[in-house]
Amino acid sequence: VSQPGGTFAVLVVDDDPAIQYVLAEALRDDGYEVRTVTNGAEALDVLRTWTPDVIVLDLMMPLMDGWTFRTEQRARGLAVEVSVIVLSASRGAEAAAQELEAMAVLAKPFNLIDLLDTVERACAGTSHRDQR
Amino acid sequence: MSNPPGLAHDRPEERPDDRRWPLSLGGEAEFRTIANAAPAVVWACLSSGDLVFLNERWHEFTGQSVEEAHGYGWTSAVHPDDAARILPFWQHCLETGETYEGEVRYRRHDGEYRWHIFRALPQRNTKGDIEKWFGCGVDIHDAKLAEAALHESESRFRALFSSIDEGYCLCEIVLDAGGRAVDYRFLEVNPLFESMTGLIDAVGRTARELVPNLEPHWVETYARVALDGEAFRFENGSDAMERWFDVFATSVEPRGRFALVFKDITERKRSEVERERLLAAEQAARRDAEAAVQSQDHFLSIASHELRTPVAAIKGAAQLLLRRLARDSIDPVGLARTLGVIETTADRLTRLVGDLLDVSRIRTGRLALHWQPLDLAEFVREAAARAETRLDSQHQIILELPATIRTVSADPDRLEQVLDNLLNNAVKYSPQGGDVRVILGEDHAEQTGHASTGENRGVRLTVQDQGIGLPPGMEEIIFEPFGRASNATQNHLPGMGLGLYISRHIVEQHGGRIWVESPGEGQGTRFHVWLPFEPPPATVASASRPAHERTAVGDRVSTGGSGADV
Repeated sequence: VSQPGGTFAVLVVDDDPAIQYVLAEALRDDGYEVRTVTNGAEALDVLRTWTPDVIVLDLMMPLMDGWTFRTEQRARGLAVEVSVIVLSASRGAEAAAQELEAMAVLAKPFNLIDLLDTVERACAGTSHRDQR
Repeated sequence: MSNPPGLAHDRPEERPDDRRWPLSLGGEAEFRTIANAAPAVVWACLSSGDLVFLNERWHEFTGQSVEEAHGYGWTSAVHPDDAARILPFWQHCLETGETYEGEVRYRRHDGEYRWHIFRALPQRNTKGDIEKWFGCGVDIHDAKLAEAALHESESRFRALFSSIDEGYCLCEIVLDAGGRAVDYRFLEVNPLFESMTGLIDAVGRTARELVPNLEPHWVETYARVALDGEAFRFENGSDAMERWFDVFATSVEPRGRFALVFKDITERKRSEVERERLLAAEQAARRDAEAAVQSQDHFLSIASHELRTPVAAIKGAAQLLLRRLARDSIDPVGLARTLGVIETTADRLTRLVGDLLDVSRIRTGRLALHWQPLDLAEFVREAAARAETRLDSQHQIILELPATIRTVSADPDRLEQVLDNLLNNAVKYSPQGGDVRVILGEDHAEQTGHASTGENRGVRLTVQDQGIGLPPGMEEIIFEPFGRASNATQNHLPGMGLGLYISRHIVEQHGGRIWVESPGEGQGTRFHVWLPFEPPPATVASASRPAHERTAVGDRVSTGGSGADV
């Protein structure tokens, strides 16, 4: 069985523990290295010392939401090249994709297979590919 | 014929003594000259009544010849109606010597009867016997007609102002020493005046005497009418008289007087005010309806967001397991954890749906309570223990309960719903962790609004956290449907804003009260629930609908959030 995860790493930013659990388990099943945080502030903390290949980002989160996270991330130059996949239950999240410079927006409830495919495509475009 | 002596001296003081004039009459020729010079009919007759003289004016006026007028021939010129009246009187005067005077119509030569005033006095000899009568008559026809016309006009005017359905009055402006108009006096009023103004016996009195607090604008307006001769028509209200009038004011002679014709339009004004009130009410209702639609939209958008998240987790967990099944990589430990996530998340979803149903029940008045005696200390201990299993390790519930407490009448399931809401909120809104204190004690100071029953004995349950607190001014909003505190939405703390709304309804239906205290943002919050030992019977019915159903954006919640256990 091929492991699309390979040496790739994913940061999951979502305040809902059940969503966090499902994403982390599914990504690890595919061989990804996964870290989970519950809001934008925690994500910024992690990015200071660790750079993933993909960020899966929820929008509505306490303390720091997805929009603020993206603004702060760019302002601090933290992992700005990393692909972002937005997961949101909010209506109109698709419209925010451009503003957020996200490669994809998936609406909750999402299809797990679609999400894993999107993560795989995101990783395929990264510089880590040659290392695999 | 009687001849009472001293007749000439009956009223001597009122009779100027014309005999003092040095007149010496030269006889019949001079009498004729005088008689014909007078602009009147002049005549003379014997004491028997036989006519012996008529002047030229009579002949000119009546067209009668001397022969025709002779004897009683002149009476043919008297109007038949008057003849029946005055001829007996003339006979009476001839017999008594009384002054013969009155009014009579004589026929002119062209046939027109004209009113004359006449007067005849007897001339007596030295013995006092009547020798002759001298009389004269003056044409007063035009003056009498004018008088009649005036009288007619006057009575028409009276009839008009007495019968019209408008008030009428004639007034004069009252000036002070400096010539400034300060008041006005009623000179004449019609019958409707009293009923319209409520001013009794107004004639002769001034407006300020009758209405001491009369608004100055009335005097100012009428002064312009009376002094400057302006005519006005206006509508004006008097708070002092509690009436509205449609007034026509015009000046009348002499200067300083004015007449008013007015209608009491208080009813019309009231209906105008009522119409405006109805219009405003209708507009408010429309705004409410629009707000309700907006609130419905807002509700759907929040509800769909809140429902999508747990559904996404359940669907994701199911797909995760299907994937593992397909790869044949299921292990019992992982399976149990994932099924646990599905179960917890489904519970959360159930609570969300339950809240939505409760809101629907509240709005339709179908949220019923199942009363039973309840030991609150025991109830809180057990409910908190159940809640603790759903909470994370960052928070600890500390109970401060009395050893014994009087039982209350309550619905334990609904009350646990309230306590769960408060505990969930305490945890959710203190993301940094901290103690959650639950304090229970008797409280007899609370004013319940049921003053009639005098029932203010009850218990107070307080849930205190060390969380993000409440910005000032949010204390009411958070209890409204979908109401959430600004710091809750800014931080994207999940929730629909229904939990406290439902909790308030449940508490009020128990005859109690729920309220919040917070020293400010970041200072934690304290929610208080006061419940009476025995809710007044009326409470059960009156609280079956929410006290106020306003909608607002922004507040605190109770549903879901920290329930999932990974």
